[in-house]
Amino acid sequence: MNGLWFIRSKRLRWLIAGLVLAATTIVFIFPMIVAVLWSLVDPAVGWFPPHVLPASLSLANWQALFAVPELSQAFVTSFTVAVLVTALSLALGFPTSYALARRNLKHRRLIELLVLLPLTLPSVVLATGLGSVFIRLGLSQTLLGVVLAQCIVVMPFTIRILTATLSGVPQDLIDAARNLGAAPSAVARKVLLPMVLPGLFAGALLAFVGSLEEFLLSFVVGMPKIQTLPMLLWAYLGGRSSIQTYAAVVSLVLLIPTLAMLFMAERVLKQEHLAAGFGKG
Amino acid sequence: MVAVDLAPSVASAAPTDTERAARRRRRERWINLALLLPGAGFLLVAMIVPLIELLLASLGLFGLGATGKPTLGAYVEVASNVLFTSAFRFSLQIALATTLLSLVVATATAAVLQLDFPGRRLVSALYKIPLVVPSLIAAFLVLTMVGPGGMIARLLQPWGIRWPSLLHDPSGAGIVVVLLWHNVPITILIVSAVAAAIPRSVIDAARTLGAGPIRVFFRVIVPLSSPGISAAALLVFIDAFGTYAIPSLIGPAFPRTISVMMTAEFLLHARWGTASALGVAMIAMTGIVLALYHALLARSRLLSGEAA
Amino acid sequence: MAKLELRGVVKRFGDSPAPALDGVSLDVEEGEFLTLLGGSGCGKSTTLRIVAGLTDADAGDVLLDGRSIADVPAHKRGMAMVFQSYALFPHLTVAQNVAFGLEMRRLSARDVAVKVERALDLVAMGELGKRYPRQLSGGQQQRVALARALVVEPHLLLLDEPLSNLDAQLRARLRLELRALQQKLGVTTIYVTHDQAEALALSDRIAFMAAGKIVEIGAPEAVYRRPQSRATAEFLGAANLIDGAVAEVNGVSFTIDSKLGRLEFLRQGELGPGDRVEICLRPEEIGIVAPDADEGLPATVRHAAYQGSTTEYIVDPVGIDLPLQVQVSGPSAWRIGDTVRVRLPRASAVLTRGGG
Repeated sequence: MNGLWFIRSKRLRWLIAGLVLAATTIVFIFPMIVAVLWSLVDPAVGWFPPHVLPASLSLANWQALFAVPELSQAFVTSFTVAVLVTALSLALGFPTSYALARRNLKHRRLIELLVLLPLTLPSVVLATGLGSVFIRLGLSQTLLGVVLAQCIVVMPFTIRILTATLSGVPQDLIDAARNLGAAPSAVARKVLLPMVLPGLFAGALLAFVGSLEEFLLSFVVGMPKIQTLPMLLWAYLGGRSSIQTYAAVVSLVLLIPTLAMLFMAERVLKQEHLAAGFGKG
Repeated sequence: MVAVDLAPSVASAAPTDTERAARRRRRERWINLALLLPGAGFLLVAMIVPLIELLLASLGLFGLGATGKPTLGAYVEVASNVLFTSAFRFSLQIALATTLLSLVVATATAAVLQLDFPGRRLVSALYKIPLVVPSLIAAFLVLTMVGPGGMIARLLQPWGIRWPSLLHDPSGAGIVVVLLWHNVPITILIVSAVAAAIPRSVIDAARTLGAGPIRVFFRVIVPLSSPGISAAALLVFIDAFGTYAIPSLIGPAFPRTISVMMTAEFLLHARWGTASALGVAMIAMTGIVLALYHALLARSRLLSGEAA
Repeated sequence: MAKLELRGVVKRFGDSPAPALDGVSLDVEEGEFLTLLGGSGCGKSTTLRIVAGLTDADAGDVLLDGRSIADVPAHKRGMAMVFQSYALFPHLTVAQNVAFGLEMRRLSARDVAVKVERALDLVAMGELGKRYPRQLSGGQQQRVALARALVVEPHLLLLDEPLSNLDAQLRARLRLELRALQQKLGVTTIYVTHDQAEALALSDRIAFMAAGKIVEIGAPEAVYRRPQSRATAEFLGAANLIDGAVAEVNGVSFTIDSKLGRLEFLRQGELGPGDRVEICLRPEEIGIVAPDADEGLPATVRHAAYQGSTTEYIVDPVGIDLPLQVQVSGPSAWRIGDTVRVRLPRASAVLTRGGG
């Protein structure tokens, strides 16, 4: 399927266009609009069938973000955990990425498989296994426990991005730095890090977003003392009673940074490619 | 000027070449180890320890209710108790249905996207939306549309059409719908990318030999895309088989998926033995599917006489 | 300034049976400009990297001023290298690039600024300190790379094919500037190139390498006009190589039996009657004269090409299956098919050991 096939009949083309556009809009756009509507429903009135549109709108649900303690608490928890997970997964992952990108490793394949393992293991298995270990270690229901657990599933992404970026640094630059008198730490600080900044940024975004969205491990490890936004969302969706309005607010709160950051990541990475096209060397 | 740090002159015994080389190799190894420890080391410990405990617990050697003697009691329980066997079957059902349906829908959509029609670019951007939506939110979004009080139900009501409730449906249809919404876009991406990798010249050759678009599709594009398509299928299957959040919210009371059963055994009933046996079964299933995938891949490579 | 010695350096890569460097020994004197010349894969760049400490040798030693530096890490060797790709740090300005080595040596900010300015002026890049490498042309980047290396006043300056990414005119011009700079500063320099014209123009001595070994070392004129081996002769320029054997020795000259007949040359080396030799005649040493001249071999012009400053011919000596390349300065009147005479040199012909 490469290249486009042209349909001769103009009517057929418009028919297909109409159908596909309608289907796509219904499947992908409508749910978003409905979610926004749900978040704006006036709690005093509700939004029940057969109403296709909410009878009255209000910002009450959004104000609840700050007013309702469990919402604001989950908000703070989620973002705190995300920052910590980002920092930790990048710090822990960087040396490993360096080794994978630039050094001669005897068991390279094994290490690459290990880095991918968190993604191939069924997450329930990992969650319950880790949950049991953390109970014994006293990390269960602690912030640190949730951070560590999330790092496990976030690091495959950060390591892969960092490895790709690091292997793109020309060896000549590292040689030149060493030749000019830079000890290994100076090479890392003054040449390597500045050059992988775009990759670090992209990795940080992936880690942050991945952490914000992570549900299962946080649930098993953190419940009930530590509550992240996804855990709250689960509760609102039927874990307890179904609170559609709050569920809508939490969903949007989780989606907006996700969309914004992924958009940013794409732009940053594009810029990096431009920069890589510098110089004749 | 840098003071050149020179080795002491030949008065002391100079190291031989082999000594030097051996020393160098050892240093390289230590450096590699130090570099790998924080990241790969952390991952190793964080995954191996729980997995070993899981295995031991499933044999009754560890955790709550451990007897100290290896026993297959937990496995017997899992294999005989209808709750667990039906859960396994249910999960498998859902995974297979999701995989097959997503392949069909994705392939059809990818094919349609190859046609030139107005608005094609817009559609191409829109279908990627679920890629950035985590599965919990996907559950919410899909529910607001197709749930019992959802938009489609409300829109159809004035016409007197009853929209079936997909919530808690014992066939798992609701779960499959949400999983499809979540997984079809990535499948479309993979299928399109794989098909686009087929050299134009091969397709042109088929066309000049008299194959219309449909024949080209089934006899050229599909076979040549099969490695990539199997990869996509693998991803979807594993995701659908192990998913927890969605079935826990909208799944039926019976049968439950195996992921839901496992967490219930662990969190609610503290029956670590059966929980870990279920976990081992899930890992085994994943392993079997991976092995199947590799075997299929090797076979397709053999058949297509894959050029280096 | 320092003296460098290599003793029996051996280097192997991966599973390759043939070593990249097979026992390289070399002395570079203080202030000398030595060129490692050879085709690709001969080991010249590997040798340079081992000197710089960027690669470790498997056997052998590297000595700086008599002391072994084989165990000294690259960043402590006090050398400076200019790379073929320039290797300028893209995230730093020109001035910051040049300052890099000085900062590694912990100089004060003021000293650094002064030295950087001086170095940039030295390479005629004084105005462009605030630019980034991607805003510079190839030639400009090369100058910055040079300034960066020279500003640290290295014991040894190493250059790895620094001019090969530039166009011919720029190369020729930078070549001259480079040599002038080196002589002015008197820094011991090792230069790597595959371009024999560059080697001949720049060096105090040329070390010709092939297959991981040094084949021959000598001053440019010696290596060009009196090469010791066929490989050297062919690499350094066009060569007419003629097999022969010494027939007689007569005091200062000897006669050699060859395909071109019995030739007489000024005696060279320790050759005696019966020794097999190979005569290396450079095209510019052979002359073409009118067919009725009283010296030279009769020949027919097979091919003529005007090159601007010279004209190149291929002539077939009559009755002998040995086409000769001849180079004559300026335009020349001979045409294809003309009968001429080729005049072989007497004093400047070179003899190399026979058998290649």
